[in-house]
Amino acid sequence: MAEKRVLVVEDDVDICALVAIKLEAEGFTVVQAFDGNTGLVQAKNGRFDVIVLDIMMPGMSGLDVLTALRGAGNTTPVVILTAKVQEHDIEAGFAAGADDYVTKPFSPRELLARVNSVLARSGGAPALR
Amino acid sequence: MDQILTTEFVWAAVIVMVIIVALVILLTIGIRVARAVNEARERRLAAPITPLVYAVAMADEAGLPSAIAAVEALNRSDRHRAEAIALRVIRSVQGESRVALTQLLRAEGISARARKMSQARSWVTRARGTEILGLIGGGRTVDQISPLTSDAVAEVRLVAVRALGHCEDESAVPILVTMLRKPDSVSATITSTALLSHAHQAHDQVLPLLYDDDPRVRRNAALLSGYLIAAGTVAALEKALAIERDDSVRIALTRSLTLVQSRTSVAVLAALCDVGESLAMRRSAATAIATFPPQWTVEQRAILIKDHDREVRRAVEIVAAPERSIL
Repeated sequence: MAEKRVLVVEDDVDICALVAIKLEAEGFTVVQAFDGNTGLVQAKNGRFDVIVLDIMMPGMSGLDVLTALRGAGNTTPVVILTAKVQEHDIEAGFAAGADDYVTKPFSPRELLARVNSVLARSGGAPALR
Repeated sequence: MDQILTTEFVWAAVIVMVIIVALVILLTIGIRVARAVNEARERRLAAPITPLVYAVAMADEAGLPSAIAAVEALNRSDRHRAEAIALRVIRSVQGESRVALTQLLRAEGISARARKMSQARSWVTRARGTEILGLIGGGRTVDQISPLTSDAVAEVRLVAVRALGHCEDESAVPILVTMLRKPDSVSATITSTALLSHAHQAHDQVLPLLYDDDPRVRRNAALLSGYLIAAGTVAALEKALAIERDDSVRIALTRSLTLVQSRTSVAVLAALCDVGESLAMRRSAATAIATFPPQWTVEQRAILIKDHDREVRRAVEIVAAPERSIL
């Protein structure tokens, strides 16, 4: 089975690295982007099975990235990972086309479970260890 | 002669001023350059240590001792760097990763240092020590943080209340409830947020504040109760609403009832729409009624839609639109 590819778009270097370490340990191939603009370009040009997306980033926000992706017909499952915890933020995330929503501070183990879950729902199998 | 002296004096003054300005500019540039160089050096030195801290954060139960041992094997200044990185990362994570980083920080003896920092003369150091105590928790953390909620400096009190919210120890609840009774000491929003971290234990201790002598305390307790939903919340809010006379508290109680959404509340809210009530109360109650499931409020909305006040009518008209579309 082909390796599952995950794009992590997150401006916090620590969080980006932790997510990458966790996912790579579980057999995913991880590509990192540290701002929204780069993330959008990577998402459009690469083939990814899941995107982990922060909302508050310099330049283009995660919601703008998500809206642009969905507007372009990109249906890659997106898990939002953000410090925005208000109900209306969560609602806006799902309205923009997110498949799941994880708030910071986050549990890397829970994030992995959610990535596997959206992957399973989208028809792909979880990554092999 | 006087003229010459004046001219010379002016020139001398101008030259002195130019020299001072040049020195200030040079000093500013020097400080910035030195800071940038230091930061770059610190980043370079921290680069090989950061993966070791990440390894601790991501370690499973079996791998944790060796991951911590790898950090402990570093020299003293590198261990301090590892500690700073761990304190930065621990704010972003929960669960196993947080527990692992807490163990690393405790192994580094940070608890004792944070305790000392929390008693320092400088309020900045006290605040930093308090924050670290809240992050790593354990042991007698609550006892150590508790006195800092009465610190002379507002910022330290605020950090102490936040830290009590972070530490997973229910003995923090009575202290936070006491702080909720002191709205002049720390913002009620900060205290309420900290209490929400202990929601299961806080509920029973917050509800009695609905009968406090201070209307500000009653209002804050009313707002918080809607988020601390537990058995008995609705009855307590409705009972308080029946005897409360202060409109700001009653509006807060109304808002919390909309969060809980119990069918029994509809009649209570409808009573608050009576013409004898204040306009602010009537509008708040009508808006609250509009948030309930439409099938529960048909009767009340039929009356309110003919109300003489435009805002009351608008509240129930808003809910009528989606209901029509469903039908």
